[in-house]
Amino acid sequence: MNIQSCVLYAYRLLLVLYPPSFRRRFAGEMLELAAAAEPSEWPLIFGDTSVAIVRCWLEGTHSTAALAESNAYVPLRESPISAFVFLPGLVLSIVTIAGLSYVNYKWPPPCANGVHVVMRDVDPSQGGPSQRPKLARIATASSSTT
Amino acid sequence: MEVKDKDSENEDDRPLSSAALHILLALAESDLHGYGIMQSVKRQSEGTFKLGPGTLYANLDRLLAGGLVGETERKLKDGESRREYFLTSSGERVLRLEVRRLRQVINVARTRLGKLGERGA
Repeated sequence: MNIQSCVLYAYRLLLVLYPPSFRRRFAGEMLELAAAAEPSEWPLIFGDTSVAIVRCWLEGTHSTAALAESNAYVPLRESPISAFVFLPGLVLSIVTIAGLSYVNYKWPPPCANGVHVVMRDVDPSQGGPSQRPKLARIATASSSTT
Repeated sequence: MEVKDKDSENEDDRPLSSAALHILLALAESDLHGYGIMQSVKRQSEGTFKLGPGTLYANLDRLLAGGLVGETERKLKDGESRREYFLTSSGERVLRLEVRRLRQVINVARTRLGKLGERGA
């Protein structure tokens, strides 16, 4: 199994997260589109599709709306977003945000001014002011200073 | 063959999103399938606007529901069929209105920026 097959398999799994009506209508084409894409376009495809899935759950798909349009009239007090539609989107959003937060925590982006603030334990046996280990604020600069 | 073409006055009043505008512009040239639309958008925006499949099909879904775009099955030589999208008359009207609206914005921007230039000089 080469890398492209793995990526397409992962993309197929991602498409499963779409609402069923949208998936039945467009998933085949989206998969074809991903298969035809260059490897450099894969991050765009995955990122764009992930965001679109969340929006699709939150805003609702028009595939079903168009079918129901002829005889459907939604009174103002009745929201078209039901708990059944809203909850999967909410769960997906939380998982996505938690995942991105973990990635940001694990591999933090470099600071804009090149200075990183690191909290470290100070060993009291090495001349620390108190007996208890304390957290010291140490600033490290990525660029050399004079 | 499934064709949808219905008038929707409400759509006329609303400005189009960048993605929807690019999709309608791409379909104004010729009938296209999904990948063709992506390539056409990339070409017409000179690579500045990259349309991902999620955005593309979410917008197509909306445009189909609004009757601005229609879809048709095209038989290929090898016996397979491919779904293509086309601009409906309603979509063409909305596109013309949007272009007119953008032209007005550009005219106002030219005037205002010209005044700013005079003030700076």
